[in-house]
Amino acid sequence: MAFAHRGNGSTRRFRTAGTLAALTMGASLLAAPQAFAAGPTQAELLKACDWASLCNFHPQSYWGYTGPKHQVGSTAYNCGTNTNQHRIDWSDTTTAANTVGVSVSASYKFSLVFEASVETSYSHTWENSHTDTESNTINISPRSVGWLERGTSKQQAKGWWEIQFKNKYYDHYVWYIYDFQQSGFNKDNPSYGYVNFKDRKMTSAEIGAHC
Amino acid sequence: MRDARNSSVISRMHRIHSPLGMLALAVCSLLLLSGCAGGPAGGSRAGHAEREPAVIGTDGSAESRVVAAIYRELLAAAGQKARTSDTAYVSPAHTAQAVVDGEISIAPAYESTMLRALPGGQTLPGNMEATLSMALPPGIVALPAAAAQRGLVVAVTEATADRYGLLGLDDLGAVKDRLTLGGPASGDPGAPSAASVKKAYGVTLAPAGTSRTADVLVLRSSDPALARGGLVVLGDPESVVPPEHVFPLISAPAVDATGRAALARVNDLLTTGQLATLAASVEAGGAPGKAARTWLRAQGLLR
Repeated sequence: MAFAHRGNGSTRRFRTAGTLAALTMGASLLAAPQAFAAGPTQAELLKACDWASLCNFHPQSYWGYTGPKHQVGSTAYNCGTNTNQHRIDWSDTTTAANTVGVSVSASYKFSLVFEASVETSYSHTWENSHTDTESNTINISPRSVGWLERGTSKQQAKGWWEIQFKNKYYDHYVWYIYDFQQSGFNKDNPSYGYVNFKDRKMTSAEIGAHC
Repeated sequence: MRDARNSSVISRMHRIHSPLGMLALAVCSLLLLSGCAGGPAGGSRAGHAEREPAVIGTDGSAESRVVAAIYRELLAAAGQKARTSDTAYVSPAHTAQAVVDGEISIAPAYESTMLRALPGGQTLPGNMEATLSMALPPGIVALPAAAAQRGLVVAVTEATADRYGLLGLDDLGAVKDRLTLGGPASGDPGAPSAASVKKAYGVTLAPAGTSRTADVLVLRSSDPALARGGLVVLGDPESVVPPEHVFPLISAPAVDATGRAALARVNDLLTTGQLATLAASVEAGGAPGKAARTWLRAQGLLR
């Protein structure tokens, strides 16, 4: 066993050294990917639409969907022994978001280009920010807690950006962003959205805290 | 700079231009480093391309050659050099595919033909621009189409158009007289029938077979009668005839904003009738470039 072990020693050392080198290289890449990227970030490219010689969004697909469920308004507690009505006032803002992570605002040209493209291509209104404010009255069973759960009607478009420059930008005249997706409130198709009343029995801790 | 082309557009668009880039890509692939894409989770990624010389391809038909010549002249006037490819492709579909494959960078393309060549994208009835955008791969752009169409057209005489105030098939609803529908191309695949016109526009026309004396004529866009007879091609907002407007299909880096604006100037002026006249002059032996220049000058688009 000992001989066999020693006999493989050089190979093992070589493999270990190779592995270490690979790990070191990988670690350095992990630490500084920009050293290899040598180009603009996607956010820089989108913002460059403001002054680029050409900035077009080419839509590839569009769909409506229901956004993730979330609570709107406050939680209501019924400490009584009868079913009670509670009014919950709520306000919920849906903001547009994209895969690049740049905030979607009318102050950026890319935002206007995207909006025009979606409205022209799919005949859907685009809003970068939308707030709904409502009041709902709910019946809460005795010793129960009630709240409102909302899934917002949303829309999303996917496509690619084409950005051209009169002078080279990061060494190139033509840049793209592929597989760009941006989502936002779906004003034209409210059927994707819902607001549901939810309730459950209060825990003893909640009874102690609220009743 | 045009490199040797790969048949895959995606791989073409993602070409890495330096050994360092190759190394980075390889390591990124192996380690699945999202940071290499330069963006957050979600999948979008940046890429670049080089400016390309504009190489225009045609399918060898008189129509395609003269439209290509129009594109070349307009680009040259806009300060962008363009040349015509030595290769003549066998059909408009093959020409469009050659743009997608990167063999050429510009071609006259036709809407429904293009969609048949590249099936699979989402379709939006009544919105051809968006449908084309969704059918094309990244890096390939369908620029706005001209008024001119190939394939089948529906036309009336100028006298009929004036008498009933006809601009499109949708205007037929206001006509009290019962008009006839027919023409030499009325038996062609995809030709509108009295039934399809009734379904789309609610208008009852009397079938008249292949008669050239029908009130509403179904013709091939290359029919010399269009120009000779001064016929008025009717609009077809409900697309009873599959739309086949001609448009420049381009590789994105090949045409800059100035070039695109120049190409767009022709769209309202190049009608089906005008295109038929231009194609007829080329078929009669005229040089496409000369025909294109003469027409563009007459339209005030070229000095």
